[in-house]
Amino acid sequence: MSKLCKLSELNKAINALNNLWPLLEGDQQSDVRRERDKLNILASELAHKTLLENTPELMAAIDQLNLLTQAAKDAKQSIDDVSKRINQVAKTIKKASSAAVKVARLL
Amino acid sequence: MRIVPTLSFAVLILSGCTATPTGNIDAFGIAAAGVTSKIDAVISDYNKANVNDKLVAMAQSNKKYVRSDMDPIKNIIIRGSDKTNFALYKANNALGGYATSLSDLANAGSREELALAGLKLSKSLKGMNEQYKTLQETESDLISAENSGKISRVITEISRYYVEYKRGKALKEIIIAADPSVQIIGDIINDQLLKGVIEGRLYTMKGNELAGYFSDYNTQTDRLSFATKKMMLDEIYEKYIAMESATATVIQAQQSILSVMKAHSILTEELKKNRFSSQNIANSIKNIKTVHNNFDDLEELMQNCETKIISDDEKGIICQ
Repeated sequence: MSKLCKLSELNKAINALNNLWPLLEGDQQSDVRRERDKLNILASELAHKTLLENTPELMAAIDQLNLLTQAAKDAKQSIDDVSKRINQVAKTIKKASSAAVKVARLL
Repeated sequence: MRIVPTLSFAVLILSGCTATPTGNIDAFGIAAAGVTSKIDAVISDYNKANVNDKLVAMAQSNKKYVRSDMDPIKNIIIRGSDKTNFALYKANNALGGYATSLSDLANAGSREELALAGLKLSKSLKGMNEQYKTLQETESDLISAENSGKISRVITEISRYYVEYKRGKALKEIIIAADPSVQIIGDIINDQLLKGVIEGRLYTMKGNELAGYFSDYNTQTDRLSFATKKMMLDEIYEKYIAMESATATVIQAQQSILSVMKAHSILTEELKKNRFSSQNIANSIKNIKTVHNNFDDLEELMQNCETKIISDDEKGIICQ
């Protein structure tokens, strides 16, 4: 039985016991409730385990998506660099022409 | 300065080139990132429900407690460092990060930034012209103000064309390559984690609590007046509605993730045909936004619905 089927069966059993124990009294009630608690702990642990489970298929998909996310970030960086390069050209022209004037004054 | 007329001609040609509109991809990224943040909220609710479930079990037993009995409850809370181990977190984070990066890429190299850079270039050229005139002690321009403007406009236009081409190409390649992963991750989040684990456990844990209230009621029923019993049943009914609606948020999250997967699939098919914008894409993104908005509305619905919240195939999550 798969983990998800097992979890579903456990939940069904707990739900059934929850519809029973409030109608009982004394030891009978405590016994059924204890049984409910036991199943509930099992279900909780199984749920936790399933959420932790990283199947190879999921891991491969996550790795691939993370790689493509990085590719998108790199592409953005490289595109943003275009305007930076124009700014750099503008700065260089400004510096070069101001340096030329300074040199000319010395000559 | 024969270069200027030639470059001006280039501007005219480039202005006529078809741009790759990436606004739809930006909208997709924003909507998809919004959905993943909502799934994060579901995970957070699940965490709280687990803590509550332990407290319910303690309150339903006849044991006496001390501070150390609270220690195991602390361990139930999924801390930031533990999150990285959880498949659901990993999957949802990967999807959210991807959606955000698509949106960022779609906005890369904005026209405003390029225009600003062009303006700075024009100013520098004008400055260089002034320096030249000072050096040569002449009134004749090396580059006229008009031509400085033209040169910088040409460079800006060429850069804009290059940026749009590069951006479109990158987006197309990334989205097409990512589609199989997006579909696998979406399926696992939807089928296994949300539907298979969280939905069922939330319902059961709420049921554990509800049983306690019924037990309290049942043990007192012989001694209480009708008015008191009615008051107690009203309170129990409210909790019963909360239990029924607990799963509604999960169903809504499932609908949201399905809408993201569908939109991504449509986007992929359209991009394969070199279409960056189409009615199909627009409709699929609109659907994500609608489902996303429904998610917000759901919180209000849960607070205001006095009957039962159900999932209707045609109408979505409704108050019956």
